[in-house]
Amino acid sequence: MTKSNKEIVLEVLKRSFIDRDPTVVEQYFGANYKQHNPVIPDGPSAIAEMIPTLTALTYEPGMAVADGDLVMVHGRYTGWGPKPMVAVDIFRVENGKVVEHWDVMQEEVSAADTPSGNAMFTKS
Amino acid sequence: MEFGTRSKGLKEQRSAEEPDFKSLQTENKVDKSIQQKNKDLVLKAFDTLFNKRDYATAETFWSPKYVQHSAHIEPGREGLFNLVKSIPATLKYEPGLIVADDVFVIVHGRFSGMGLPANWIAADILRVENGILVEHWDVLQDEASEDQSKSKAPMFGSSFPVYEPEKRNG
Repeated sequence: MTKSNKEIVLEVLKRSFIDRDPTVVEQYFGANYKQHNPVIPDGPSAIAEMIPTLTALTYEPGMAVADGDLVMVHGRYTGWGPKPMVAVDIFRVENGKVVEHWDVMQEEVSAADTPSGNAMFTKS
Repeated sequence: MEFGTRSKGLKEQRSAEEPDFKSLQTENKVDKSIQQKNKDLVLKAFDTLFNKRDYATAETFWSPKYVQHSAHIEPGREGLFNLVKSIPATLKYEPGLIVADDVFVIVHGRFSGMGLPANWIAADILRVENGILVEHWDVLQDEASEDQSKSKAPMFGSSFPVYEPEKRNG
């Protein structure tokens, strides 16, 4: 059965940042993969090279919304920076592969320290 | 891929791309008409509050029981509206990529003109209930200039921001 775009993106995130499996790049990243994150070089090979170095990283996905060729996922990266980072990752999917990526990342503020008292992130 | 940098442009682009409605109904589990309504609601609400600063109209889009999860915004609808009132009138919000299902909308956007050294790139997540905004999460990050970017692709839209110190340095 063909995987949905949401399933593909959640598998890409899991295998890249939880399993740290660099073979995910060959399977699910387009050769034309365009990177908009400002701290990662362009292209799929930068991801394949980065994955084995992320030994301190854990990732937790939250809500995911798919619409047309786009999938956006709320998540938390622990071990990417000095503090846990809350993120929204945006992927464009074309023919079963991720071909473009944007993200927004912010240091997590605990619920006790937000003005509303609510958590910035809840894992799914 | 094209990016709408203003709400009007984005809507026009999306509606021009909208494929045959009936085929979408049969191909997707999510009701496309609700998906589109939810996106339209968020784009109109954000333009009304952040760009037009029409608080009376904005009250029709935001629930009085609005639940805030943002790291820096005071609770409730009043907390959000008071924040906007405290930001310089030069504030501008530009929506970019946007996705929705029947409950949630996530929009990529840029806040500029806040009197800060850098623009903010945002991912705003809204929960919609009965046609109004009832809950919000966000992630905010300073927008990188071209010099600051390793990927050499803009974080948002199709061009990099040029900040004042860079202009002066040349």
